[in-house]
Amino acid sequence: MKSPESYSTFVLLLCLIILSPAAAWPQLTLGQYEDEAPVRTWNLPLVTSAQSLSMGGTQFAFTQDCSCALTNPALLDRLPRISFALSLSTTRASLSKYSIINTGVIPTEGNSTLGLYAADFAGVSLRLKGWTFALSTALIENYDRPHVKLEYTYLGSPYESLDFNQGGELKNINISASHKIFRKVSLGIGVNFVSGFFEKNIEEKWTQSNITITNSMSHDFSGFYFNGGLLLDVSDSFTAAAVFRTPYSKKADSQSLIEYNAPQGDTDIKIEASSKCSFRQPLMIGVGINYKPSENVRIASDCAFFNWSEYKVNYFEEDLKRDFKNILKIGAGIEYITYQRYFNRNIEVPFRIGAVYDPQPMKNPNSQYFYFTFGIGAKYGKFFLDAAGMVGKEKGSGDNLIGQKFSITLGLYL
Amino acid sequence: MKKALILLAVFFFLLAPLRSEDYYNTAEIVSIEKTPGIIAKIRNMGLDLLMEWEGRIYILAGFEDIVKLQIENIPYKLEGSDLSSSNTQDAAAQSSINGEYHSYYEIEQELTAMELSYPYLAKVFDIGDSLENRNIYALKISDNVQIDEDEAEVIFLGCHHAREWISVEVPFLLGKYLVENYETSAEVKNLVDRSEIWIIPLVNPDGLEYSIHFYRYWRKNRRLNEDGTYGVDPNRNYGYKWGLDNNGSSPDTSSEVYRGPAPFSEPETQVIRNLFAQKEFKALISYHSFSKVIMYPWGYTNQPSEKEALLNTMAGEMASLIQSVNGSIYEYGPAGSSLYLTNGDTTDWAFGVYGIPSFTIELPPVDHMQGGFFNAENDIYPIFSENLPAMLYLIGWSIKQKNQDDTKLNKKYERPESKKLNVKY
Repeated sequence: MKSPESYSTFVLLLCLIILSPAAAWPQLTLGQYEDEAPVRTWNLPLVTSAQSLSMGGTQFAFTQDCSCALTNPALLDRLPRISFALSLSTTRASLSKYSIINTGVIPTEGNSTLGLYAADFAGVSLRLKGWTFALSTALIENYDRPHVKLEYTYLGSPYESLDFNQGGELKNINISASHKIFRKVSLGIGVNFVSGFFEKNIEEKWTQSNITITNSMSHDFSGFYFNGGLLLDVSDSFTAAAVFRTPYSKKADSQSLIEYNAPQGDTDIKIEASSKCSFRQPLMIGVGINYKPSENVRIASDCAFFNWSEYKVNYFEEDLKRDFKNILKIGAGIEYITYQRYFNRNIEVPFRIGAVYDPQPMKNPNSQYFYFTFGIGAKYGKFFLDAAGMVGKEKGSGDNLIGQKFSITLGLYL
Repeated sequence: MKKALILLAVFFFLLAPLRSEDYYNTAEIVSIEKTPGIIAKIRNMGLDLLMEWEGRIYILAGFEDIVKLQIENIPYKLEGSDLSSSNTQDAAAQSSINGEYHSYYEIEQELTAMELSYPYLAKVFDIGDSLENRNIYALKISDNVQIDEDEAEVIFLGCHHAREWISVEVPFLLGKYLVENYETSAEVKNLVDRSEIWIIPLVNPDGLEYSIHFYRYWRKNRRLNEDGTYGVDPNRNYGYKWGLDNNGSSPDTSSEVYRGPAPFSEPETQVIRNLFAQKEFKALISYHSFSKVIMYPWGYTNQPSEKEALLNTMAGEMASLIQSVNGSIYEYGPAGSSLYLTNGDTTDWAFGVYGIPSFTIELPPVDHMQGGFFNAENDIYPIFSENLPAMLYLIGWSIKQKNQDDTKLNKKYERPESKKLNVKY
């Protein structure tokens, strides 16, 4: 990082992040009926590095970048003295039932599709005197839904329109520390501050009578939780990990407005509400393994338990029922490393594949995502670049939802 | 290296969300001493009254409101930015997305509280479940409420249609009025002592919840029909003349007046049918909105019923009582010829099967321009108040009818007994 070129590259990356639109993708699958359902899966945080994504989402027992701070900060100890990472992603997900769509008000022919683009992770780690610290930010949840606008006409003249808009996101700032407590054991702990917003607006207009009905809802989210992990080098080729994320309350300052406006009748009826809402997020605990049978091959697997049966929503002073069950999410992947020579330079090129089983917490419908993941990387000197894809389908709801994610991670070691 | 770290710090600062709006930080609870005329004065100032307690009036006041108090030279005391536990119910009312209207949860809480507060007058029955497994509650009000006495039974129904929020409030407030005024009003005591009043304020709880949380204009229940559409109109699903034609209801599942695949196919109407099978109701009112009309059978045809004169007289009496309160005019007449044809509705079924006077009252406003299915929160109590005399009239009428029926029945028993005696002697 001492050359001017390196500084320029780094500044360019920062600018890319700052200028990138905050993104989200939709993917409501099960439980998409609830407004608070994150896009694609409830089981968050999402995988934030391309390397992890390509290996079946495994991220508990191995990493090559500081995105591990979100899942197992103990892994920070295994990174070079200073590391930077930046992930960009695009996601597509299909949606069937959400809010007023396909729940009785606006029917669609087939599923809707939502596409999102995001700079979903940026972080840095630094080792000082046996301790490794990391500071990172990530986009961890998204509440966007496909925008729907309907216009009805009668005898060629517009007489009614209905406009549905929903969006939102949850960001996370993570501060983590890791330390090798024994020769083969590392411990990591992180504190996470979350913030974000949710906005939903439904506007219905009866054109000829000039009547407008507005229904809007907004939340400003905040909260914090701890995460941590333990890493054990069982042997030179085998590592095991245990991780946790504490349950926490995603609190919201919430506003609601229902308005009926009929200027011709001099009528403007409003019901406005303001409240503190909370969404009690579940405990997550997990275990992972990383096995390297040879220099060129790596196998990893993760298993995460989400205590969704304890999920609670307090919504404008009411405890809403969410009939959720505990779930076990499993992922596995394999990496094969090759060495290529381009432009008279040796480049490490890993190929990766994996699979993910991602059951959703709703009891009804009982639904699961199955994903196939793949990816390729290039590591040259202090830089690495990974690209990954994840494609999958959902079974159980009868809606045959699909989910896709493509991610790129850029990294730098110093 | 240092530059890189500084850049990173800037980057994180830019990404960090900067959201600090907080309603509770901008509003304070203040209290003022209760003095003669002060309530009217602060209402005129547009202040938001929370409650009265121990001689003080509590107000939720923003900065501008506090300035108003200062300008008016009204001494006030800052009480903090949150309500004390002594007033949690008021706090909840201020933060409900449906405002002063009741959700399923709130009705459940209120009915339970009413039963606890007046155990000798009010009893809550869970008479069945909705499609989404919510309880459908019936509130029984009577003296000796725990006992099924031989008294006139009369029933008031609300919220067959989800978006008609005011139709929950009027029957619910009737229950509240009766128990709260039992000790102080001779009229109320007389009615409650001599009758059993059944109130089902929320026939369609699933629909109401969907209307509150997702789409205000939702009307039907939450049946997922076979073709993927949602909802059956509960007020077209009753078994009398069900599906007679496609004018008074619709076979189209996406229609607002879809009658369902069969009569009483919906649990929400089944529970009403089952309750009627156990009771001997003398009269019924089913509340709806909007248009300010009192309708009575028949709805399925524009031909008059055999009791047209009686029903017309009763509807006219109720309209007159409503008008006497505040001048509000409700039209009245047989449903089919007054408004539009309906088949499979509540009142035709109750009248057709049980022969009891049954009325659909369409509450205010009168048209879409005045709000349609919307009523302002501060109109809830006035609408209830103007309807109260009509409800009390129907209870009174039921008591008289019960007495007449009993007299006839007694006479029937007396005749053969007399003959018997005559023969004997």
